[in-house]
Amino acid sequence: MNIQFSPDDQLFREDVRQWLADNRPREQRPSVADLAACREHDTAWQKTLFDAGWAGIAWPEACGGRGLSLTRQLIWYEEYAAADVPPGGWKSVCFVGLAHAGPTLIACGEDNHKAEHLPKILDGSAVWCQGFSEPGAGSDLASLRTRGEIDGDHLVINGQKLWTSYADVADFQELLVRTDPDAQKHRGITWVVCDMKTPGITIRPIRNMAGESEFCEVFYDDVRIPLSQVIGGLNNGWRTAMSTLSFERGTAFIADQVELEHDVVKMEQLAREVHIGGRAAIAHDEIAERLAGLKAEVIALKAMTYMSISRNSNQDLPGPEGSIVRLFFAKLSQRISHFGMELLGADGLVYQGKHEELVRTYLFRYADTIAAGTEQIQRSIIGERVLGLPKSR
Amino acid sequence: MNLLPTTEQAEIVSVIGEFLSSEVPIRRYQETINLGTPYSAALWQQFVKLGWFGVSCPEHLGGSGLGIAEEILLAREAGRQLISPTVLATAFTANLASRHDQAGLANSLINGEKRVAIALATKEDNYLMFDGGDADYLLTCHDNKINLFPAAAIAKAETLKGTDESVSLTRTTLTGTPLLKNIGESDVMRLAIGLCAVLTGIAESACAAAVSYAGEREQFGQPIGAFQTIKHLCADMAVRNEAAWSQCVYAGLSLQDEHEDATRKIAAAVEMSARAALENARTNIQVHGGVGFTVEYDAHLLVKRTHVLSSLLDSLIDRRKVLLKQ
Ligand SMILES: Cc1cc2nc3c(=O)[nH]c(=O)nc-3n(C[C@H](O)[C@H](O)[C@H](O)COP(=O)(O)OP(=O)(O)OC[C@H]3O[C@@H](n4cnc5c(N)ncnc54)[C@H](O)[C@@H]3O)c2cc1C
Repeated sequence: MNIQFSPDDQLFREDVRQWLADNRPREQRPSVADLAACREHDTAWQKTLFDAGWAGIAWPEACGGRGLSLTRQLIWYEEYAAADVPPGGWKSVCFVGLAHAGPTLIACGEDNHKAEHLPKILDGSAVWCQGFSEPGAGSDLASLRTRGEIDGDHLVINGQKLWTSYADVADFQELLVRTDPDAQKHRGITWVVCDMKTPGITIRPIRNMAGESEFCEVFYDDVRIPLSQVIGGLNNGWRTAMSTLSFERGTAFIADQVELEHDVVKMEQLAREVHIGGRAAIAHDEIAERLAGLKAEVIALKAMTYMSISRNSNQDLPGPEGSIVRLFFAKLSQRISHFGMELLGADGLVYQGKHEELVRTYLFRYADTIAAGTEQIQRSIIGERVLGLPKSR
Repeated sequence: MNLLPTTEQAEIVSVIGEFLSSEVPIRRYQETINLGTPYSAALWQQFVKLGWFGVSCPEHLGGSGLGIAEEILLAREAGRQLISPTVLATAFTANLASRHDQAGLANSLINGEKRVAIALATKEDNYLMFDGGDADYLLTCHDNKINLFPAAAIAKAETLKGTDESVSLTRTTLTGTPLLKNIGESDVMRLAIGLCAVLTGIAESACAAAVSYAGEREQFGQPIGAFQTIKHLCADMAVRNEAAWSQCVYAGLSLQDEHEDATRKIAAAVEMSARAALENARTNIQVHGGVGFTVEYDAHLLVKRTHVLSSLLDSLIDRRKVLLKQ
């Protein structure tokens, strides 16, 4: 047990800090209302990161990465969160590719898949989205019905996906389809790379409760995908999907976990600025107590992140413990933003101007206990796969 | 950076864990609740043989020369089996003495000749001493400070009925001056992080008991753990364990490495471990139903010991003030 970063790690940290200070973009990221502009911004920034050697820090060298430790990746996120830079984590359109599509290809793809897709993920030239959920298949993902029929050396896709984040600005999709309708429900599924420019795809953006359209409905009408784009084998897609989800629930949100610390700092500032009953909010016992609790939790989140990195450094696939941190993060992020909303009082009713960002974050946080598996599903995973409790009958 | 135990540390934990679960398992309270003298001389010697009291003392004093990491690993195991606070206070004081030029005192604790009980200052200027029946010294916790007194300093002692019946309780007044001078903040924090680890052990013990019962007990034709309401209560316990233990390690190692924000991290460890212990102990009773509410079963003791340890921690660190300091 140690929390020492090696001298080389320290040097790496210095390098990252210096580079970010010198190279961070001076302009703001465009508003999410204009996703195309966001794509342009995020991918240009990703290209800059790639050129400077900051993309794929912990990816194997054979896959175009730097082949460094997860600890180095963590250091990058820590410095990134501390610098005044465009949002990382799942707020970037490059998220799916970097955080779980890429890692899935590394774990389950053939060399030709890796060679075709990984470089473009790393340098920002390809944006990915995730086509797992459907109208009838949310938590019960294995009940998905979008069909994939074999026709010669192609899969022909018909059906619909739902809640596909960034679909309308994406180039590729991790797509789950049913290729054997007669097999038992987990057995007849295939994980395939769908080129979003293929004819037959229709995309309709959906507005979320924060008023933005980051996710979409996607319709497939005789969409032809070469069988060579199947990852992990035909009808073996559930296993490939489980590895995608283990990255999504295990390591994908490290950047967001690290960034949450800064949200609490903002809340503390707010609690000192805002006055309630003629005194600074923080001078009220109940508010001080809650803030202290949130600060403790966000420090613990960092410790949990370190713990999970320690675990994941010894294993190829993140284990089910990832759901523990994911659940803790999701509940905490909501408590923090809710606390801010309470501090704002009537000012929180105005969704523009000074507090717009805080209100947006508050509204957006409602997704944290739904996306990447609802909090109920995370609890069931912890109960069954971490604690070994029996499945419900 | 790696928060997992090394192979050597895992080995220590497994030896200690096996010893405690065979010699002083938490189950023992279901048979007798041993008030007064915490442990027989023979049992105490077994702790000595395992090197418990000298774990972090220098080797020339008979210790093992290990550090805070090993201290908290041991403390966590102690929490899991509700080991007497006297065991913890004795190990802590041995280390304290060794770093304050009190080799003789350290040695007498390491070799089991002497024991140290812990005591908490009350508002009335006296102390509540836990499991101090035959202690030779008293470690007092008071206003973010600790002091060490010889048992001879006890002017008056009155046995009380304790809320936690698994430790004896004595109200004492003290006279005279403490034995050690200049006990600093980092020493206080070292005791605090040890107690946090004990609380984490309690939280883990509660979770393990609940999970095990939920897998066995059947109602409506299935194990109650198959019901999501019960399963999800258990999952929340596991989340609290992970938060508490990760934070204990992070804070303990920060103290070991003398990081300037170690106190703040320990304040967070207090918050997370006290919360985990109480919430998990409470949930464990709920998962057990009626049997959890009985005195024969040990679930209630996890709640009660948590209150003792949390009160001690409150007297060692002003958690809120530390966390809100800019
Ligand atoms: C912002 C956002 C972005 C998203 N992005 C993507 C994306 O890019 N790609 C993608 O494929 N999906 C995406 N999703 C979809 C997400 O994965 C699903 O919303 C999620 O899995 C839940 O499915 P559902 O919405 O159908 O809810 P349902 O599964 O219908 O759940 C409704 C409620 O029932 C509960 N429930 C369901 N089953 C159980 C059970 N067995 N036990 C207990 N409770 C249960 C749930 O917890 C929930 O409270 C996104 C979602 C959000 C909010």
